[in-house]
Amino acid sequence: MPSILEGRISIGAFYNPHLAGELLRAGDLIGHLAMADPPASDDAAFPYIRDRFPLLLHDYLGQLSDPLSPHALDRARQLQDLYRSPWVAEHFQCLHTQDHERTLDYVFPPLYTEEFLQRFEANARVLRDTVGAPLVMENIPGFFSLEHAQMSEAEFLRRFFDDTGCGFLLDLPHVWLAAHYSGIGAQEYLKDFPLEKVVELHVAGVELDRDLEGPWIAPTAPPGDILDLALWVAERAPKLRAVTFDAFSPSLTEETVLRSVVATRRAFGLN
Amino acid sequence: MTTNYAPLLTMPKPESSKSDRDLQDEVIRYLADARARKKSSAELPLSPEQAQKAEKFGRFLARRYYRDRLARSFRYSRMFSSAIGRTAEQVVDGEFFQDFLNECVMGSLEAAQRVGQMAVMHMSNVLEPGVWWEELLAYEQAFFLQAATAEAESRTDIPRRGRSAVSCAFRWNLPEILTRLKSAQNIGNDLKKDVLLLFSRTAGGNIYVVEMEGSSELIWRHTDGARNVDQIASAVSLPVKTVQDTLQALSQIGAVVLPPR
Repeated sequence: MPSILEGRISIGAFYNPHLAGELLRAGDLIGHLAMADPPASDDAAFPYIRDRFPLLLHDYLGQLSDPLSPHALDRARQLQDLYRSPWVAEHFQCLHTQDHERTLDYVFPPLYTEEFLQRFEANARVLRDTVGAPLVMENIPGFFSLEHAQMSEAEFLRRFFDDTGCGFLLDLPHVWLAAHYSGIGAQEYLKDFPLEKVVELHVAGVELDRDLEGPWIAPTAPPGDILDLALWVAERAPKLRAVTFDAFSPSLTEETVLRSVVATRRAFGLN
Repeated sequence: MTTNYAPLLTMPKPESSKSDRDLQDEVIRYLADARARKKSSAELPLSPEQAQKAEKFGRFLARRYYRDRLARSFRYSRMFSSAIGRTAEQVVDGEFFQDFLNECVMGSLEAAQRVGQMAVMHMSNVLEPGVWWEELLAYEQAFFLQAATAEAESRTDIPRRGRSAVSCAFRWNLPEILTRLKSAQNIGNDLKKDVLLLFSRTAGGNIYVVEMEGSSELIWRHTDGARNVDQIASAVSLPVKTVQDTLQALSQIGAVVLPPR
């Protein structure tokens, strides 16, 4: 099974099953594939994908604000057995209620409080021990704020990573949006982030959203702003090993994926 | 405490006794329920300005959710989008959807039923690609009901059907039609066949479509939330053990909810 080489930054994308043939034909352009969903039972291309690319486990394994069920932990272990991912990813999010009666079904950050920090730390350790691989955690942007936070996002992340030893998956469009809606620049927003913990970066585009009346994440090619930010972070992230174009959607085209990977490779001087 | 992000930070209200996790649940419920957002945000530590932003975010989440579920569920009819000039997910950008966003409880069965009906109406008024078109849309609507209903099942004292589980009778062999559509094969009259399909979803979100016949169909039909196992067995004239085994199998695919053992 292929692996991401030590000492080199791999530029990759997410596995989009409808583009499996195109991904396989892309030669050495794509260094790895992140897996947002398990392969479908009728996905005839997946065995070839697994033989060809290092795979990164980036499924929804469960929200680490709450203890994961035995079923969720078992599923995480099975996925890791299938992918042999060099690290396993989850998110700093809390999107469904404890009784599972309501879910937002989308990225939504926890309150940045001592209680949530303790919950995330305890549950992350359990997940990491279960899958038997390093765990990286991805930052999640907020669109509005509650008058309840006890610390900044940066402090929450730094303390989490210091306490658990987990790695940081820094999603740059998320940072860009959080900075935008805080009214400051992205580099300023990142000033106190633990960039030395970053293992993987996500890049993607942003587009105007009609409901938000402002920008939000989009499955489009990363613009120059995001790629410049990626380079700026890379210079401060000695543990960085992978940059992933973060888009998966049935409507995603081959052209968008390949153009995004080429642009990212070019930004990192790898073309 | 870091103060670089002053617009996002204030100290917690000292009088609050609920846990932070409980407060997060209240925020999730508020965002998911348009009617709750209409009433008041006074129970939450939200300034009026942030409440306005939360309203926008709630609408954004709902539109995104139903667009995604429609695209996943109406994927076979989507194959004809260039011919008919429509896709099911276009309804989320329509005028009617604005009214829906003002009222919906995201992930509820009621909301899934409304959006499913909107999608079928949108896709029906076209030059039909085949005489089976209406049935394909009915199949996708039933599938969508599973994909878009996220409410947890409440506990029960007697067997009852899963919240979104539904059986549909078709005059065409839908499973075989889907196989042929996937492989771009012609669909002929040889696929005319009565089939009864059961659509369901598990608590983990797995969706099942299974063909029902014989005793399983009888037992499903009589699992109405009013009869216990013995009464179902009596109604369908089958041994209690057969009914128990069938209900157990149906519960594993989320079609039936059983009392806790």
